[in-house]
Amino acid sequence: MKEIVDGLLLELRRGVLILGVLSQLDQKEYGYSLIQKLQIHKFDIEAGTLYPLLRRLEKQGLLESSWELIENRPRRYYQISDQGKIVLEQLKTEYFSLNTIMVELTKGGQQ
Amino acid sequence: MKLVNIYIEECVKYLPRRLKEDVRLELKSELEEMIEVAMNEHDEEQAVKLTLESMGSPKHLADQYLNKQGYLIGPRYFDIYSKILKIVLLAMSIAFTVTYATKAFFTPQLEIWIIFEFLASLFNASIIAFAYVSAIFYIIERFEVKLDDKDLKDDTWTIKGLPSSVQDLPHHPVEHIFEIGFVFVAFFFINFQAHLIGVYFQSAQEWVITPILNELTRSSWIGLMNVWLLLLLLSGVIKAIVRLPRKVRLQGSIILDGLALVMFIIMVFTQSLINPNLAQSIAPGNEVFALMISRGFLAGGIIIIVTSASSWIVRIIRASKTKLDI
Repeated sequence: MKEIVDGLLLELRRGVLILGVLSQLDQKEYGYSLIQKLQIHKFDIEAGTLYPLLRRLEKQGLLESSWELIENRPRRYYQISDQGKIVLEQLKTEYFSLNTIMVELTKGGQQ
Repeated sequence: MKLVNIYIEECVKYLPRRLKEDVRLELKSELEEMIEVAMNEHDEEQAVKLTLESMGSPKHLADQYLNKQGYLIGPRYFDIYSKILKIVLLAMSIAFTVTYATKAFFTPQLEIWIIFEFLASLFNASIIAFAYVSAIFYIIERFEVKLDDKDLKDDTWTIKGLPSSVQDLPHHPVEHIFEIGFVFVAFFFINFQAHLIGVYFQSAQEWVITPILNELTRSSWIGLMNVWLLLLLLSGVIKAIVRLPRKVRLQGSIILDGLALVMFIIMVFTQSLINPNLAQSIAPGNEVFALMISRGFLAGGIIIIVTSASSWIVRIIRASKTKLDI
């Protein structure tokens, strides 16, 4: 039973992962700072999942990246692109709409 | 930090050259910071261990960078892959069957090896075709080759594409095409190479064939046999033509199969079909075993008749339940 629930929760979280990540990149962040930022909002994401995801989003043109040298450490910063902002708005609209429907559907259990 | 470098190298070794340096630099910087934070609560060794373990295996991380899926051919291409594979295998089977049937037809003294050669060649060619088609689609999947979406999705489908009733769904023309092919093969062997339909055994390094059919009474049963095969052929053709109205297909095939069944029963019980020397040839001098073989053939014949009759009755009942006049 636990295995089934874990699998379903993983799928549920995977669906909103990109929305969560894009929403926090209006200001530039590097991988670990983004993890911490998301954790403040109780949105846990594994580092091994986030770094490749940032690359994929950049490849799709939703993020822009640049290298900067901070405290003698090279860091790759990511920020949402103009195209990413448009996509984010669409995702948000769809998410809120879905959320309203799901709240309505799941309210009252069997009704 | 030696372990960190090993971890990073283990990961980037799976990545293409263009990504290696970039990922190496990014991972190094990120991991060092993560370890520094972890060292607020643990000693360095423990902090490194916990941080690297939280990243997952280097191979898994590399797979994430490559966006690698756990399959060779994914859902995007699988339908068209499956369609092409079926077409290739079917075309190849037809080509091989026609080639070998022609070869057998023009060979004056047909030998048993040609059947084994046919089966072995078809098997080998099928495996090679399967491998090639799969390899091509793996490359398409791997390099995300853009195929025309029309090739991937059947957007032209409308509700008219649905069959007229649920009973049509299990019917697939391919199985009836095989049925027709089988009738042709049976016709060829019964009419032209009947001596090859038999029991094979090796004696003194040579294959000896004992024919199952009775060659001496051939003239009396060959006509009935050909009518029987013709009825089976017509039934297969009617079932295979999916464009025919369902009613015609159902009623036509039931009538033809019924006639074929009656013909088969007449043949088995009125004609001397089986070679009378068959049992003795298989088990010379062993009368008990020979008797068992003859009874085995009789039992086999009865089983075929009972099975065919049952299937025929079931089809009549199903047809009547769908309010079709038989």
